[in-house]
Amino acid sequence: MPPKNAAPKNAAQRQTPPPEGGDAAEELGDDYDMPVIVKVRPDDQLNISPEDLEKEVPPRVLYPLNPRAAHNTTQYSFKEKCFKVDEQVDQVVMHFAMDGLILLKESPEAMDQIEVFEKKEAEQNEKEEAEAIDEDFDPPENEKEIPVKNPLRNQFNFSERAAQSKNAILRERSWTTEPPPTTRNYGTVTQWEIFDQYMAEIEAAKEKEKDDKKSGKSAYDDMSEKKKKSDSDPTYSENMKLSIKIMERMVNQNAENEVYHDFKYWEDRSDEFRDGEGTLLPLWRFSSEKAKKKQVTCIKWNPHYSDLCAVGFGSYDFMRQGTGVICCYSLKNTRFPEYVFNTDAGVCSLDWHPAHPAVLAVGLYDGTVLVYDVRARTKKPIYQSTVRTNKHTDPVWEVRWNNDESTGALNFYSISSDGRVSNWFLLKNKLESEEVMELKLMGSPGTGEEDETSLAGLAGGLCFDFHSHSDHSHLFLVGTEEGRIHKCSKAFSGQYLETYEGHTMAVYSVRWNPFHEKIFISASADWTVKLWNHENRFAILSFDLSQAIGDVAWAPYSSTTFAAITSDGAGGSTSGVVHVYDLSVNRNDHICAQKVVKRAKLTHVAFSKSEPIIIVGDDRGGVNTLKLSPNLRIDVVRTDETDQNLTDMDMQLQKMEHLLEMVTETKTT
Amino acid sequence: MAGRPIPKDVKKQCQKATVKNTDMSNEMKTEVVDIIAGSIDKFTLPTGVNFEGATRAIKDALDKSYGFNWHCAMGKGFCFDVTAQNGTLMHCYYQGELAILVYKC
Repeated sequence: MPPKNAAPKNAAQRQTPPPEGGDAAEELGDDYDMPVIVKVRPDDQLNISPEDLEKEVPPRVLYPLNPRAAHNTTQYSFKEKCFKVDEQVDQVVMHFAMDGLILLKESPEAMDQIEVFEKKEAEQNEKEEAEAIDEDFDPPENEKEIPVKNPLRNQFNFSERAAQSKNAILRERSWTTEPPPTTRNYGTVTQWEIFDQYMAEIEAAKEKEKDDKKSGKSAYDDMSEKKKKSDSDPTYSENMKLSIKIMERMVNQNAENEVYHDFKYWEDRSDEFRDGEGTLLPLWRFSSEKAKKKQVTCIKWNPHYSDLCAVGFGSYDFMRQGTGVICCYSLKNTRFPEYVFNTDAGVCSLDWHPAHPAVLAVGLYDGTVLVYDVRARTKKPIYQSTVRTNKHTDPVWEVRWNNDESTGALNFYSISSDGRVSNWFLLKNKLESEEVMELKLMGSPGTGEEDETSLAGLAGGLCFDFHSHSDHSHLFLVGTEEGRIHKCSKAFSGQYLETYEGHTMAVYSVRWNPFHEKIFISASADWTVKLWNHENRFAILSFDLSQAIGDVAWAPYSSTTFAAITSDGAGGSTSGVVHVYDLSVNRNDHICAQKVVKRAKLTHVAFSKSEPIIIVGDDRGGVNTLKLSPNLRIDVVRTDETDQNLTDMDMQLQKMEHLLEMVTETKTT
Repeated sequence: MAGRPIPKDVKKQCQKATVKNTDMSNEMKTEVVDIIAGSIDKFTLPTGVNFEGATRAIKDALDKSYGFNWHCAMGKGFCFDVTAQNGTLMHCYYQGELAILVYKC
């Protein structure tokens, strides 16, 4: 249908609504009055007769026509089994189609959407509420109450547990200490200051050196410093010492003036009347504080200085052994010893060296031998024997210097109860010992049981004596504890040359006669003193003193005089008695027996070589000096008959020979 | 340097360490002087002393032996004004031209 038809139709159709287009404005001016409908005919409207108006117009329809559309669609219809043609083809062409997002409010889709939206909101609210509530332990009834946090764990098997411990209460504490005290220091460093400092130091050092030189001090000499100190003090100088010594002696001598006079000049006049008897005049008694409780164990005069004697203190008592003291007394000072040495063990024997008058050999109770130099400042021995150097294991009862020095070194012999006679050499820094011989025990002669029951071991040696004569100088005598005396030779150490039987108890002392080379004397604990000729096995003479004898000594001035001391006095009272025998005067009995000390036993005796005195030691630590009366000092009797050509020595020998003859005579008769 | 040159023998005598001023105890003094002298000797090169190394060494040694907070200053010319703990200050000279100041604070 052509659109021209449509246009008038539209115009006709538009006639029905009131043409309020152009005139509406005027009509509306009437305001809310009932509108009056006035039909107004436009001028250019067609005039159609009312019959034409009533005529029905055939409806005009607008049909689209798509040029590209097909004219017809043909479809096969299975029902009729043929192709059917459809003239009606859809002429609508869709150029653009878009689904709109807007939903009508009242439409069902919108209603659905609103529903879903509301539901979601409700759920969200529920979720929020549920999170704020604590969890129940009971499984929730509704699945909708579960918080959606861990959707993987199912609530029936897993449950979360948590606990909170108590939080420790924290407290703050703090201290501040006082800072260490500080001081402010300030200074300057400059090169000239450094220089000045060093210069000052150098100057000071130089000054010090000068002072040192002036006072004569050297850096390394401490000893001389001490000496200087002593020197500077006049009290300690050497000269002072000497002066003091002389003063001391003078004072003492003054105090004992009478005694000295007696010592020098007094002779007992009564001896002229008493023939065959003599007396001993007591002069001094040396005693020392240190030695008060000890016993005198040996006395020896110094060979060079006739006023000096060495006294050894110790103890014979086995149970009560203490330390020992050696005191060297001088006759010039009788109050105090000249030299005092302390030893660890009791002293048993002493000997001065014949050539070196300051060297003293000492034997101790514990077997040690010592060598002292009395001049040395220190009080230590210059040599000492130790266990390593083969010291004796028993007390050293006697020591004796060896006169001949063929070996070059000084040497001395010692004898001890352990049965050894040792020779000690003084080497540079030690003491060497060489065994001279061992004192073998001899079985008593006559017993056939020597092999089985003979005593093992060695005899204990108590004393020895070397022969002074040059041709017999290798001989020496040994006295043993068993009572035997053996003659031995230095050269031949295996065996005894001779054994002298006679004593039944220990022999305390053997002494060769200083004049007669064949005679010797021995003193024993069996109360006897025996005189022997070394060629005979048996004693020539025997003297029974009826008391235990401590020591015997030949007088140096007479070949027939000797002194013996006893430990106990006669009659039970303990006091020491000195017996002096002169065999040329009285063969059987003593010419003097004198009690010297009260309440003490005498232990040793020694004759002075030059003075007419003997010195006797007792067990109280005292040493008594006694002067021999003239009768005791008879050396040689020269009468008109005697041959003037004979020397004193010959006279002495003669005396002895005479005596021996008499003895043998009496024996044979 | 201006002035008379120092005679060689005197110089030789000045080589050792001398204490100028100290308030340490005697043993501490000798020990510290030894430490200082030793450390400087360790760091002496033919061209001169390595001051940094030497001071570092001195300070470390003193820290180790006497506790922390030591200070060490070394030089040929300087002034100082320090506050130090009592008994820990030492001012000494060494090798005739060096001055060393050590203190603890």
